[in-house]
Amino acid sequence: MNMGNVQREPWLCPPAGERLHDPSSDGADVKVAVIVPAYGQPSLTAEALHTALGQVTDFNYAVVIVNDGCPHPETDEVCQTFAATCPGRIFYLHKRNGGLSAARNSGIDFALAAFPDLEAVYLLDCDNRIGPHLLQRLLTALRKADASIGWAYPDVDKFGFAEFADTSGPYSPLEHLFRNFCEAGSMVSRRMLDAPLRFDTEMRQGVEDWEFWLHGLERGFRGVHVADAGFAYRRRGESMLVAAERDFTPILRYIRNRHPRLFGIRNVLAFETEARSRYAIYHPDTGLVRCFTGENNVTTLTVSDYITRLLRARLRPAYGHCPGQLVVMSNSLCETLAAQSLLAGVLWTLERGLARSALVTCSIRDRLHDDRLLAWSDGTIVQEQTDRFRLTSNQTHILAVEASFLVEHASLRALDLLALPRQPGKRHHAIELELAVRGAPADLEPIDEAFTGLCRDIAVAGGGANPADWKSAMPNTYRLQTALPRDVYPELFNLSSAFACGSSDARPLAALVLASGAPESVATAERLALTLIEAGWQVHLVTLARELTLAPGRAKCFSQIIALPLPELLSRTWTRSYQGTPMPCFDHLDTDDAISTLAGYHRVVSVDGGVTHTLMGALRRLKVETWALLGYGERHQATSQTVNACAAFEQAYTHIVVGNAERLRLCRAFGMPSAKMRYWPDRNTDLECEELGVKPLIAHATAPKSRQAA
Amino acid sequence: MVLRSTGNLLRQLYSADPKVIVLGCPETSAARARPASALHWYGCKLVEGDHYVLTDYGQAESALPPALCTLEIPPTNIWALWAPHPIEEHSLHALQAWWKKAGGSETPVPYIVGNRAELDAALLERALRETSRFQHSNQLLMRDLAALRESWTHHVRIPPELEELFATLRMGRPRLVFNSPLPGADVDVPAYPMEPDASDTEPCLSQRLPSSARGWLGIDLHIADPGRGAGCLCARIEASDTGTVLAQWRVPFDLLCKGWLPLRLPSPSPCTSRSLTLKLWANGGEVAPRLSTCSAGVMHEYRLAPQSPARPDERDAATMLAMKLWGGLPGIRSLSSEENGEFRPDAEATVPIPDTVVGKVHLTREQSATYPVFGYIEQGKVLLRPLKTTSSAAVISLPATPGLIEISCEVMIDDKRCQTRRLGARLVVTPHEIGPDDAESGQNVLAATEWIELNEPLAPSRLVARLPLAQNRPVDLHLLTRLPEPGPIPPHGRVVFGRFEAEIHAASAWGMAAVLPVAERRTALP
Repeated sequence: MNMGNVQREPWLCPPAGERLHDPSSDGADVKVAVIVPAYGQPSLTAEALHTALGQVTDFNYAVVIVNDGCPHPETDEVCQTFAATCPGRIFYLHKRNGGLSAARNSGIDFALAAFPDLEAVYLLDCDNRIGPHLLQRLLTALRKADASIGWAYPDVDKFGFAEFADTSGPYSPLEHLFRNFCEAGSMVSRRMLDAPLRFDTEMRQGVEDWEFWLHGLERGFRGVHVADAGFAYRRRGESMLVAAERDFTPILRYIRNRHPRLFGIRNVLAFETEARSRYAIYHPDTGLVRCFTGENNVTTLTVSDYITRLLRARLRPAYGHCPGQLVVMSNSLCETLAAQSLLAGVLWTLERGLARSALVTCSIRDRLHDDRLLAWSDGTIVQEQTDRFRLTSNQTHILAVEASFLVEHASLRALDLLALPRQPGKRHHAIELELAVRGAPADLEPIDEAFTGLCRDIAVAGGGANPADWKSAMPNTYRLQTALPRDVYPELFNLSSAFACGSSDARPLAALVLASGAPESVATAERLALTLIEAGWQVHLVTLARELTLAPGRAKCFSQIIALPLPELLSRTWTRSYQGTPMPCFDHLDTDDAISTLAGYHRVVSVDGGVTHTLMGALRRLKVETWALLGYGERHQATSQTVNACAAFEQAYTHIVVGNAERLRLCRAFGMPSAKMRYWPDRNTDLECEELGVKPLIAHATAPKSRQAA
Repeated sequence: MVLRSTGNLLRQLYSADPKVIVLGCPETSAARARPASALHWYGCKLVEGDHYVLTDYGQAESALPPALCTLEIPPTNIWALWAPHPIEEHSLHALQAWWKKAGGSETPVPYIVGNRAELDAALLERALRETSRFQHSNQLLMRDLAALRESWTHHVRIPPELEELFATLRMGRPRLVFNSPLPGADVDVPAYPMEPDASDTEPCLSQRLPSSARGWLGIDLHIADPGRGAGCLCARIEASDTGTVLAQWRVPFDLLCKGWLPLRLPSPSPCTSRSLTLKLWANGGEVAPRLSTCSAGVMHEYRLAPQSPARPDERDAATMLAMKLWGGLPGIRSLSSEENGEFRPDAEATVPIPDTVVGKVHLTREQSATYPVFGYIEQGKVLLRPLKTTSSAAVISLPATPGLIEISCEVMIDDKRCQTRRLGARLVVTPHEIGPDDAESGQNVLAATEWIELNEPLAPSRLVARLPLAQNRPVDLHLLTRLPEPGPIPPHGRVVFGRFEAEIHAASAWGMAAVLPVAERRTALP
């Protein structure tokens, strides 16, 4: 078993036949041990111990003081005095200095060895205080909880320089990745200690408690909040200064490096999917609201329940309980898009628009040429100086807005679609889009009135839910928010968001990226999709083009189709030259959008090169497998130009796939390593891999799941 | 028996240092060895008849001066009378008897007959006992200090001069910190003959309060029916995180009347608890009182327990007690509001005007521009830019506020780029439905401020309109702004009103005097 940096104490291995603690003695029925690491501040230690001794419980508890080699004799005197006067209640360990984590670990190891009935430990730092009912309330919460609950945490009532940290609400793993709302002054269950989890003794600059909880989270444990526990955290000028001057960057980097799986983008997306916290789609035709991140994990609410969640998000902490992005769209349109595997992509396009604009609207057309599946038209940017604006289309069928921004204004005054003010921090007032989709319902109703009605309902329900009215109940507001991707992804991945594709180790996904919607590129993607599906993958089609031609029935090999024609919709593209070959490029925002779209996949395949090449370096850094198909779809370019364009980004690719001997030789001539090359024959080629001296595509196309099984 | 010593030795014999008295002369060098320690050693020898003499241990008898003092009281803090040889046992008993006679029997002196090892064992035992005793007393002392230090968190220490200053500046006024929605239903106060304990929720109404203890001054409860008979309405405020009771009230039914019942502390609480719960029960009487309730809205954690059985555990139907919570500066007695333990009738309190009321502000003189000139901004602020020729005017309709005696707000230019000086602002209070022209000209107004001139961006000025008589009916607050002289609208001249507050007159707002607690001091939860 990997113990990491955990240091085991020698008393865990007592000589044969000896027991550290006689079960018939006072400590035999101890259920909770209060671990108090002591270093400095002897009089404050006395205060902490005084409160630890004042607990009102219906079970036996012990206090384990661990003197962490404090050089001040007064510390030892205080500890010794308390231990001497409370035999059977207080136990005193004096060890060589090893830091707070090591001291806590020593206390935990002692408690586990000494108290056979131990159910939990409580971590009390030597300058804090606890209320008389804390142990009882925390242990009761742990006893009531299921086996996944590893720890119980209180609110943090800071005294001295007073402040109240309200940590209430359901525990959110997603929130815990970017904000430590569990103080060390929490109770850790026996099951988590037996896991075995200990504090990282390498961490001596603070924040070791966050790492500890995250370690628990990684092992599948969760926390539970306990109200009114009575935990008081001493806040002095010195500790505020230390907190302010502490450089968190290297500490956080250390924590993230310690838990790469936990902080992997696919795991973060999985947490977000579990929380169902990204989109709330209000269907005016059914009066229901669907809340989800990924389509397969949905909570359906009545509109009044949704409004309640939305209003509560401004009043009580419950991160992830209310999605931050509100989309208004009829259920019939939503079903149509979902049936054609287009819903996730359309929502993602709206989300990218919302990153730039207060409001994104979309009108739907059902007339499409030939075999086109969908077609976006140019986006229109609305840039108004006053609070009212004009839309060019009077047929809005989809609307997206940030929910908290909406509720802030809807609860104060009557609001309609055109009266939504410009949102601070957003580049545009509104973006208008137009989308043609095959099979779109012909009788779609505009959603303007439904939006106005929703605003009215919010205003009515919000009559008694104005944050100003409840100010006395909200000591601070730092955790009051609806959930938005920007809470998480910028800090962890330097991305504004990530498309929730649903890829996981159990369900690996590959994205086939088309820079253009040319029919031959689409045909290549279809053929590759079938190959990958055979190898155990699921496949998404991601196109950066405005239109996608795909005959009915041919889309089935793609479990999602994401059409994100970024430059045409939201900004503009530009071109650079690499050794004479023109290379299309995105601007900064579009690059971020495109990378965010692909970051969650296990494998990303550039089917027809072009602008896709420019994204691969960033994706590789995010642990995405990156593949390039060379010469299958770029009919408009000479082979040498195709290879030259790819060569510019060769280092960013895991593998480069060619379909005939000529291209293979050209690639080698351009300096691409043979080990990187893969052979996937063109339709008209029947050369064997051995003849070319490269490995075939399929041998390495095996999905992670299949590889694991093998 | 007579025990004597030299005069020089007296001071040492009655010091607090621990001492050992050795009877006779030790023969072995080991026994004679006098350890270098904090322990003081003395010899005791029979000189003639029943006369004994105390000397420094090892001092020769011949070295004693001729004049010796007789000891009437035994020496202090003797840890052992040691007779190394059994032959000295007779002397030991004699000494012991004298000791008891002269010093009393409360602190008997231990005596040891035997070798040095036995003495050492006894001394060690005594030393350990002493260590333990000191540790206990030291621990008690440390815990007392800890309790004392902790108590500082829950108390404020303000010199009387400062209290007086607060009163003079009118900073110590009670302030409305929470106002529930209007009453919509009512609930019986359960009758219970005893005081319920902390965990007992059955016999009483339990209402979590949306406020912390620090600065908490009191609560108004809305009496729907005052009850009947010789009973009392009992109320108790508990702080569940610190496990204490903040205060307890007993109000006889015959003092109750329909309307708001003000329960108050003598001064805003200095306690730091974060979770307050109000428990209510009725004691005695024929019919228990009924209290008004209202919707808790989406904040169902503030629902009243138990909920009415007619409305089981439905979130939408969550009700709470109709209440107003009052706060102030912790520990500051509002001198003007209290006299001989009772609130004076002219006491005043501050009621912030809710954002939802301010948010309904509307223009009374039309304005149009291609940039924002008017509107509710956020956090209770209203933008009203001055017009070219006439004053800009907007109105806020204030619902009926019992005992309204004053309205005030803050006004400033909120754009630091504004270079225009002497922008005018004014506040006028009128009855409902009075137009802006009348308000500006002083027709039918209740109170008005003068035009004040704003000369510096971001520097707030206070507008205070004092009513001659307390009002109980709805009023309109007219906001007016103007340019120094008619002309083009200057750039960046954003005049913003905010921090709207009303003062109320206690005697008019409440139908009865405030009720003070029967037990104010903090106690542990029963």
